[in-house]
Amino acid sequence: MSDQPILSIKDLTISYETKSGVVLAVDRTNLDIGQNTFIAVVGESGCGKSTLALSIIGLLSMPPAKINSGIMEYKSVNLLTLDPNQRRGYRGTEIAMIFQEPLTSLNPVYRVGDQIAEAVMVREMRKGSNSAPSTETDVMQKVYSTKATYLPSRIPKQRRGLTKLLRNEIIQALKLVRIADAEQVIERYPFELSGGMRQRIMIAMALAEKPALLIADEPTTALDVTTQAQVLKLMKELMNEVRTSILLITHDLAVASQVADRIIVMYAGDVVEDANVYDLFSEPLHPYSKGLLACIPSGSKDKTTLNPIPGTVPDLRHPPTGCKFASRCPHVMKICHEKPPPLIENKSNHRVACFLYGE
Amino acid sequence: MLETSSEEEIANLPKIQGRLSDAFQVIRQDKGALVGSIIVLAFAITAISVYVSNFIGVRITPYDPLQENVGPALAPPSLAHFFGTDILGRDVFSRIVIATPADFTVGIVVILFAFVVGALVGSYAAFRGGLLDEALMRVTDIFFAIPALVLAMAIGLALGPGVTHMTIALMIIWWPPYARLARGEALKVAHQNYIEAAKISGLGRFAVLLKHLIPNISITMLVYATLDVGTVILVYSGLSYLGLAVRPPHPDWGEMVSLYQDWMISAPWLPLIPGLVIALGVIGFSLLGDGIRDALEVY
Amino acid sequence: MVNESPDNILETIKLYTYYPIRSGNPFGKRRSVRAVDDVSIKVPRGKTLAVVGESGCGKTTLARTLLLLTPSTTGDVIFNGVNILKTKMNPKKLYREMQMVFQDPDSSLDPRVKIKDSIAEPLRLLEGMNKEKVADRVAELLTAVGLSAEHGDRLPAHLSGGQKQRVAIARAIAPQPKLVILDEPTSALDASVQAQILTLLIDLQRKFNLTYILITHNIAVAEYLSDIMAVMYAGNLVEYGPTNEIISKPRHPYTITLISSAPIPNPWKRNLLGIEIKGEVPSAINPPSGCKFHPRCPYAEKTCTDLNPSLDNISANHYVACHFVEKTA
Repeated sequence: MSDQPILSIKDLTISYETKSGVVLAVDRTNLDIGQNTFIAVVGESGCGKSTLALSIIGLLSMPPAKINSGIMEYKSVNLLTLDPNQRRGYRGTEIAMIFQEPLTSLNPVYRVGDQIAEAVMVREMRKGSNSAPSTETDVMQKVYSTKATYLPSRIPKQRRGLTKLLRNEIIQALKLVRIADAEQVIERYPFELSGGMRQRIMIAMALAEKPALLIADEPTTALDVTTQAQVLKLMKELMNEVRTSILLITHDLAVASQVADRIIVMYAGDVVEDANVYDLFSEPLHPYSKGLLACIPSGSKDKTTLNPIPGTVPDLRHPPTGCKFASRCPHVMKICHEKPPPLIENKSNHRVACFLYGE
Repeated sequence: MLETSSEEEIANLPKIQGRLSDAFQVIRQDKGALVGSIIVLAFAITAISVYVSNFIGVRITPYDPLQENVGPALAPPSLAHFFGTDILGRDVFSRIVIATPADFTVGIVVILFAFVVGALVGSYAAFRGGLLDEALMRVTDIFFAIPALVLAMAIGLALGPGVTHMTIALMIIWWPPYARLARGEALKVAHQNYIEAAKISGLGRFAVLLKHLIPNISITMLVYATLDVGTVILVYSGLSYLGLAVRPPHPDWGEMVSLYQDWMISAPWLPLIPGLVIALGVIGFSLLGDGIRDALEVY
Repeated sequence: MVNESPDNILETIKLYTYYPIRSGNPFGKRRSVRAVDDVSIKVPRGKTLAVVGESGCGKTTLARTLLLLTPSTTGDVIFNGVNILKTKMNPKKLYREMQMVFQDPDSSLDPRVKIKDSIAEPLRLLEGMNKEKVADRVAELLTAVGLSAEHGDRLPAHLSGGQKQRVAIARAIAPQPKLVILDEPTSALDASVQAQILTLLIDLQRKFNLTYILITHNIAVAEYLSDIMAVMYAGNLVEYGPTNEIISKPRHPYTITLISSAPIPNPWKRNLLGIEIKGEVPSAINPPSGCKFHPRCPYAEKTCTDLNPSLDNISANHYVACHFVEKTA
């Protein structure tokens, strides 16, 4: 495992234009993702984690979102400088993503097998031509053997033919995500399957191209507890089998502690702490991280007390000068209101953005 | 653990709070709504003036609309005759004005009736569900199966022609689409938790319907309604055209379009002006409706 | 089951709630969702009972049946000594004593109604208060849940999720009920907001001597808040007993699976990665025969396919519905 990170984000700032003002969603974020590691970005709603994820995969709607600054280096290419066509080439092939609600991620009018076939097809095609990743138009033309870029009447017939052709590969993809009766599942429509099953199919499609990075945005939040456990376990196992890195976006610190190698804590658009999972739990540095850990209920109310963090998240349309957590911090100092703390390396591989640990 | 709102927070709250009084604010800010309300207001004032003047027996139009030969026949628009004259020398402007109460009122009355009846029927059907729902929907289906104009004509022939009878006919046939729309919206809203919460707050079923269900389905229906006013005017004009509503020589916009179409080439202002007046009415309502919808929307 | 202990504010006896499925075919076989399938629980006064389970287990239907929002099929519910399913009563009387905080804070408040009016509604209708009294009480309630009078003038869209949930709680305790059903009160909230709401709930319980029935799928929250736990699976009650006993030593095979799937915030105890769970939650319309968990159970035998187990008392106040419960000892 080489030391070079596969994705390196420096100084990324993203803002949204809304009816009521400009929202600073991500504020000068720095983050590195290594090879074959499991990183969890943990934070509450509005902390910018989903925006960050969408910007990595390139699915941010560019108005209203705007990337104000920053570099996103993937295998020595700055993704932010690419034009939309080039960017699309990386999506699904090098960097893949799965979302929270599997029902809306799968097309309800096509059978599941047909949808996986599309993903598998792209992979098979790329094997043939080892040039740069194909654009969407190329794929459509090759797959559907049509000169036009979109012919709705011909697609269903072509799709079924495609599924027959790639049957073996499709079944292999489903077996990879531990779906036992793959033969039947191929013929089903998404609404006939359970949430857990649909999420596995999403993972199968995302991993079809063996991407170097899989981003998962709250993939288990909508699932039952037992299904969540199954899916998380699957993701961890696949990470090693497919040799990919996983970036898990979640609000659940407990889930993150179970699967991640590294945890990045975000608050109101800033990365406040970035550490190895064991270091974060044994020695949390940032007051917000400490607060978050103290919020997790464990044990009965008679034996333990929950210490909620007082106050609320600041309005990101009018962010405060200085540290965004200052108004809620038990250790706040004068300097905290004056300027924002930089992210510094406090110990080996443990970074924190807090004036308590120096400037 | 008291949460107090900071001054900043209060200042940043949206000003539009979804009440009708906010409508005035929206109208002032949104040009479209402003134009729409001016148009509707102009029509309303005209209609009221004509109605009152009829009542007290005073004539407010420049000429007697029924009087022939108040000017040269087929005169183009001029200072003396704003909209020109027709083949019988009648002042077109006066005729348009005198026709305003009927055309304007029909639109509003029919839509109001359709909205209220449709909302009640549709939301009640959705609320109760089951056999009642099926039955009510089949009733609305019957109305859908028969073309509107044909049904209106049938009712017209049964009741006899005349403005009031046609208005009634239109009211009868106009409400089913609103019931359908209301039912669809109500089905969405009925599962919301606040409906259940209202029930366990002690609200009786019908009260829940009126207080919570209907206000929340009204916005979608309002959008539909404002676009629909124009359609009513058009259909009513069509009925007039067929002679079922207003009887000549009393003028009506639709009837004027039909009557004057022969002069399309030689005196184009004759058929065009009543048509434009109808179009203006449709546009006015739809712009105003958009404004009201924006005001009632809760962000 | 005639002698109900005076300490139990509520008791359900063999409660069944099936509801028919509307199929397009009027001549087809009548099928029902067996949402609540023979549930008997006792809720001690002043305590918190957690009803835990995953989607489709029937816990929400159970809550709605208790509040008479969903008609029950058979069975009894004794509340404050009165059989509310068999006695003809004015629902208002019931709602003065039993209230509910609904699951999704976004949909539990009428978006067109101001907060203070939403809270006032039960006061006007159930308590019959006049205007001044209502205003005073609303102010009291807002303070009790940690909001200010200014919040009362707002619309739900101008409040955060946590604030809306506080309003829902204020409305629920407005008529001074004895029993409050909390349906996933914090599932839609962030961790820090959840902690605030949980603390508030405990506070209110002590202040007003409330009894809670907590419906949740979150084991950590159930463990924190509750004294007694009832575990449901596909409509059946499979385990029932003191919370700390069930968490530390679950006996029903499903409970074992459930507890071990709950993520612990401890990277040194990675329980999630070691478990093996077969299959998924069964269909509520066509459940497996006999014990509904048998297709997924590592201890299943022939009896399990044929016969649905009833609750056995395995120790003081601890009941398990399993033919082979000794296998998990």
